[in-house]
Amino acid sequence: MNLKSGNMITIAIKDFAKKKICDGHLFLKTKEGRRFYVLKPGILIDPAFVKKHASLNSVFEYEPLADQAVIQRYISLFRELKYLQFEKDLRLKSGEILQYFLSVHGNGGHFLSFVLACYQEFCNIPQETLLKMHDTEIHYFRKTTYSAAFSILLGLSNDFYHYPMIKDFYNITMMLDYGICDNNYSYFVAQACNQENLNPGSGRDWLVAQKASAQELNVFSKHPEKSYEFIKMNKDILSHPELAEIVMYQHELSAGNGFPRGIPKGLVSSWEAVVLLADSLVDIRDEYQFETTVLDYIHNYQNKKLQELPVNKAFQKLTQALRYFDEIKDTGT
Amino acid sequence: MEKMKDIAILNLASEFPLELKSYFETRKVNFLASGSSLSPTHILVDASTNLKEIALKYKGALLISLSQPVDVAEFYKLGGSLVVDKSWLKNDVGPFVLDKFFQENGGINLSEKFPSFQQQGSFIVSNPFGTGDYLDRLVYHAFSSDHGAIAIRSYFDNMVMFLASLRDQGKMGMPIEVSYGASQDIFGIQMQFNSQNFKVEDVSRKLKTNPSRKNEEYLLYHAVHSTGFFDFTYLESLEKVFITSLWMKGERIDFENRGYLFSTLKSSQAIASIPEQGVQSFIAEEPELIDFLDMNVETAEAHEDGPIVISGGEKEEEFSQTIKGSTPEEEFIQVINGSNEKEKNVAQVIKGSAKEEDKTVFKFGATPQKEEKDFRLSAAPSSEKKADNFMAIKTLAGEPSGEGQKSPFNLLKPAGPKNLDLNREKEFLLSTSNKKVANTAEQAVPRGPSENEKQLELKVKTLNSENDRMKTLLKMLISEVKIVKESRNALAEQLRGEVASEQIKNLEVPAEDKENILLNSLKAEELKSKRLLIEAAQKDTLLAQEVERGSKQLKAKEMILDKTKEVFTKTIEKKDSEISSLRQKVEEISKLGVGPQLLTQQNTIKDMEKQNLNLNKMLEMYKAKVTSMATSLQKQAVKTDEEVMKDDNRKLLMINTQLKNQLDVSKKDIARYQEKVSSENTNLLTLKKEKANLEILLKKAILASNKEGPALGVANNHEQELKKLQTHVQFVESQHKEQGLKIKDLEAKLSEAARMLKTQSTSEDPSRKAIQLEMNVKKLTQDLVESRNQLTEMKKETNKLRQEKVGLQNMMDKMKKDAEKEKNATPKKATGGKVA
Repeated sequence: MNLKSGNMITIAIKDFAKKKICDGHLFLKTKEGRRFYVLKPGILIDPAFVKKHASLNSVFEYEPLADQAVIQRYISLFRELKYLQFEKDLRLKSGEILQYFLSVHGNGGHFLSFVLACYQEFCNIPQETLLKMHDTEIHYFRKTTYSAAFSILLGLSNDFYHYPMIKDFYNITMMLDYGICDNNYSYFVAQACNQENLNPGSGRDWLVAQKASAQELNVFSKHPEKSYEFIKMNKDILSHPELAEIVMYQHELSAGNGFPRGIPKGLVSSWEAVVLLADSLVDIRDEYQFETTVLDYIHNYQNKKLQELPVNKAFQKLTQALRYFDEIKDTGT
Repeated sequence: MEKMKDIAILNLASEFPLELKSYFETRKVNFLASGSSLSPTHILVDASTNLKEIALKYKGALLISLSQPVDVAEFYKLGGSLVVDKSWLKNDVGPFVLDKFFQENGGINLSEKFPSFQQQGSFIVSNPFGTGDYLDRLVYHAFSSDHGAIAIRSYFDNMVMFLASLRDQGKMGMPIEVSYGASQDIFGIQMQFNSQNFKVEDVSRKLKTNPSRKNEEYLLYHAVHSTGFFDFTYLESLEKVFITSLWMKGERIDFENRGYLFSTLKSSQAIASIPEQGVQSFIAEEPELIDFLDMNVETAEAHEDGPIVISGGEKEEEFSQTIKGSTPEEEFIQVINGSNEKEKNVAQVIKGSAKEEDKTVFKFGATPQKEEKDFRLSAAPSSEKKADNFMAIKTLAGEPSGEGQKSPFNLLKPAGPKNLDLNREKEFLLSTSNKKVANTAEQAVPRGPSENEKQLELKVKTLNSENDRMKTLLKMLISEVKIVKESRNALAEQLRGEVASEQIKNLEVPAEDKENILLNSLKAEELKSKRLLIEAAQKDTLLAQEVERGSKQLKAKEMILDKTKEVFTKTIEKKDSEISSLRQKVEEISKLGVGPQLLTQQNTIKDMEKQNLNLNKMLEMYKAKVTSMATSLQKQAVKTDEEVMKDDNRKLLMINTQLKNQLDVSKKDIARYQEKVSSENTNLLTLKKEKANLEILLKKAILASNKEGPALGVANNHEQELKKLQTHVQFVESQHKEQGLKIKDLEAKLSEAARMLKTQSTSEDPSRKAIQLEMNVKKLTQDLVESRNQLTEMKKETNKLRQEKVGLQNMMDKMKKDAEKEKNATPKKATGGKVA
């Protein structure tokens, strides 16, 4: 039985056994009453960790962030979408999901609930690959799960209503930067990705300015191809294997001076823009301020990259759809 | 534009359109003479050109056909890439297409070259077999901008299916992004998708001049033949396909003016696309569709009197027509599958003409006090004043008067389409009639025709009257036409008369002038009469159209009426039959009378009483059973305690006997061990005796050896060993003593335990006894085990002692032998010395 004390609850580790991703802050409590921060939200829970503390009968203090009821509701909505056939029904159900998103996260609901629901429902990546991503860096792993959740939101608002299609968006977004999970991965490579996000086209220059090694530069500039090759090799990840091409568009710019191909805005399709935008919405960071104000974060997301990246239309569709359903909610029609 | 400099064009077409010429001139494109030594990059051809010959002569040059080639697939096979008719060059599309073709990249933003082109919508096709809703909306937009919706629908359907077949071959990837838009004259659809292992020839070679039996070719044929311009561009570097199809308003899409463009682009510059005019999210902006069957209606113009309009709504549930009342009675509207919204946008005014004196107004869905016009029929053109051109219709016989809501057919009900829908009303009537029937069955009293039946009858009557009214309308229209014709003839005659009178008047004027004037006036009059005739003819046609429309509507109304009549008659028949059956039942019941009813009731009461008695008996039986069961249960409960006690005692006795047995066994064991110990003691004593003897012998031997010298050291050693043995023996003896004491203790304990058993078995609680016994037995067994272990140790030690004893005896024997030998040896030595 859990004993509540404020937001913190005392919890036995066996309660964590079924969870794959930590959905709150977990502290290990010593006999002297001292607390150690053990797990942060959004990272994978190692089964060995659970096993170890189960044998030790360790006592943990836990601050949950995700709402299990919300997660279950999202999952049931996704399942309903899965079994619909006609485009009108699919569109209406997608609208229902967006409406629910607004109702939950418009009232301060934690974004992690949506992230975990999406992870449970759509993640189709082999466990060893996920572990590799997680072992490379936990913050990078967390970023991929957040970006992938945004891809679902963007997919639905950009008129992609078919379950297999949005599932593919999720997995592609997760695997987009898999190429950087290399032996030569470093803090600099992660920061270069962030720089590329903040100021499109500046990632490589930033690495050079930081006097990064040739291997680091290579990891950064070749990671789209590596990710693409990996997805091509693992065909089971995607329902539509042809969508793997999207990975090659992740660092393309509107002007056509991105890498690796230099594709201009006019040749970037909406499905590529959806994934590209979802990736750029989240940086590799140790914490995110937008988790409880995700709608404000989306609406105020007006930085430079929206002009420089070929994603403006996808972004406008997202905000348009959110405003539309918000108005419906307000008017009650 | 730099690419245009490298272009060299050779014109082999018989006709060179001016638009094309001006295009090339503005782009400063090089033209080659027919005998030029330079090789052309592009050759203009037409139907009269021998393509094979040219393809052989100018290898590598791209062919541009200015007319439709005989075999399109063959044309592309021979190096053709563009077919553009001059009709396409007359508008903005021509230069755009040519730019896209010659510059090989598009690279042109449609919004720059084609500013009037606006995107009307976009959607994603994820499943090629689920496009119905999207297609409906696409066609809606095409239709609303007066483009060939049928051709567009046919194109889209066939093209999507063709792409689905390409997907089966692994050459096409989902999804398909579709965007569509229109300019003033052109409607365009652009599809883009990913493709793998693709070649333009995969499509171009499937283009046939006649419909093929092969599924793909058939689909492509119909798709391409439904467009005005078909542009298929494959972007090799990105493996993407862009299909742009254009339709021109006004121009007939046929074999002659169709355009084709097949190109493979190797560069990855931006391709021409329909510009984004704002963002169109399908999920956020769900366009409302109008039923285009209602699109023949004219826009209703607002009038203070509120004309009756037949209007169509946009929402799906409002695909209907309303016949509205005048403004004050807006609440009183009859809807025939109609809507009350947006009637201003799409509405139908049933026009007619009427003179002021004919303005008789009859109420339809309005209170009789208000003499306002509900229907206005006008035959005049829209430019004329409305007040002069309307005609009201007389009311129906037996029209509803007073409060509208009292009407049995909801004619005067508020304008909610749900309330006023005929089908729903029908259902309502049926349900109410059902209820009524149920009520009659309950009451079992026959009545006359119910209110609903009356309502139904009334409704049928009113529908009939409406039908009559429509017929009168039609008649009136026809009469109006006749009136117009008559007025036209009268006017013509009047004009002729006027002309004749003027001619008579002008007889007095000089002959030449008069003739001239007459001729002029005649001409003018002729012109006037011609105009009048033309106008009359136009009016005729308009009237004829309206009459046709009216007759169609009448037919439709009649159809509806017939159907409703049928339905109502059927329902009435059903209800009649139900009512008759109910009546029959009631009659049967009534025929049965009071007497037999009582008898039957008495019988049933008797049966019931019998059943009651039986049940009471059963109850008593069960009660007795239950009480007996309860007593037995109580007894069982009492017995069980005693039995449990007995069982416990039995168990304890059993345990007691077992323990006693164990005690006996252990006593026997102890006795056996005591015997053994005593025998061991006797052995020990004998050993001690032997030892003492040996010691004596040893001492003797030592004394003897002391005399003899060399055997002294050995004797000392033997002494030490003997001492050790003595101490060991002493230790063993002490242990023996201890063992003996322990055995005694054990014996004492056993006797105590036996006593305890005897005493406790009689006095104490069986459970305690058992516990104590168990404890004692445990102790005894432990002691036994200990004593056994000690005995085994003792045995081992006695064995050792025996061995030592044997060893000592051997030693003693040896020593004795040595001593004897030495004794024997010393006299010999002495004798020997003596001899020497």
